[in-house]
Amino acid sequence: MIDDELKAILVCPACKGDLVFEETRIICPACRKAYPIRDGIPVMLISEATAWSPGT
Amino acid sequence: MRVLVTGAAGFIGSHLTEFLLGRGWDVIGADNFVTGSPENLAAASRDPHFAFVEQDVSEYIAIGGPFDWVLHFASPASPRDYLELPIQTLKVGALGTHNSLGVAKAKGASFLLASTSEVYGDPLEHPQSEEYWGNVNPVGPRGVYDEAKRFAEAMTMAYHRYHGLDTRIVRIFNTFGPRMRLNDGRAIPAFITQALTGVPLTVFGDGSQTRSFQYIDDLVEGLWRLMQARGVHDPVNIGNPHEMTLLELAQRILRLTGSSSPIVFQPLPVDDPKVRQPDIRRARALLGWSPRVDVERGLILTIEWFKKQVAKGAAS
Repeated sequence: MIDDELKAILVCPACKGDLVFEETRIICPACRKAYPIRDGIPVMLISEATAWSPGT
Repeated sequence: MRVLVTGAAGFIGSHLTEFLLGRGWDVIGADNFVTGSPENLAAASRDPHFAFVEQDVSEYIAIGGPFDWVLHFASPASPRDYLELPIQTLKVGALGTHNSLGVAKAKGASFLLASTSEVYGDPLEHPQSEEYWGNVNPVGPRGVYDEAKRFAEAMTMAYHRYHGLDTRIVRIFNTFGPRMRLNDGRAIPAFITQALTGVPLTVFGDGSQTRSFQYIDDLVEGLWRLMQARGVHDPVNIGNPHEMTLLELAQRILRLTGSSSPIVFQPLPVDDPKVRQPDIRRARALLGWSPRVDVERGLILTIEWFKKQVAKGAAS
């Protein structure tokens, strides 16, 4: 679980946009990327992000 | 107080993180685990005032919210690491420092740069005071670290002078303690691991080159005092002036571990500094700081930790 404080301050490293937090990943709807969460750690690396599109 | 620590999963970053948590500070740690390890943050992670994000601070620091301090400790720091990661080392000293300074400026936070005694290169003055400009080979293999940190210092001073940012620069001399990686290539982890596993201790050159080793707790205390010091924007050396040859160090570690490993000699690496000893008059005068843990005591504490690591390695 990512704590609320961290959720409040994280932004997308690629576009600096707001993020949507899911159980296992963090979505940037603006630039359509999904960042993984590994062992509770948000992995905010552009190189680790996968393409995301609405509905997936 | 709320602080961002880059390189929080590293040797020094993780000790500093725990120290600040112990003083009730909120710490946000960032690290890309290139040389740091999540294991170093096991204790910090249990503290509700700690949060962590995996990211490359050379890329972009994707963290908002208010900060009182930005502590920039991210960088490969052992010769073995920065020879393997030359571009990343230059990037984190340049782009990482720029990004970290940008966060500090945007948040109105104070900024501390972890610089290094390597800015003095192979010094022509001994001991090295902060006024000494250094003797660095910019195109030598070690230049990637030395010049990255020299650039980082220049950038930090530019932000101070041009933007009025409240900055500190610490030049950290050789530091040791628990959480150094067994295989990071530096003398103390190498000698202790070799002594504990019964293989020969590899001394480079004839072992007559000197180093001055400080224990991690002394460094963290020095960092803390530097953060409290008002108006100290010029670099401050933090290190233990107790100088010894590498051969002496190897012999001491053999004695403290009770190991019967032999000592073998190997060719000296390129541009390896022959002497290194901090002049700490500035730290004494401005911070009232001087090292308290003697090398023998520090080595005993470090050997205890390495014993557990070697046992873990053997068990896995």
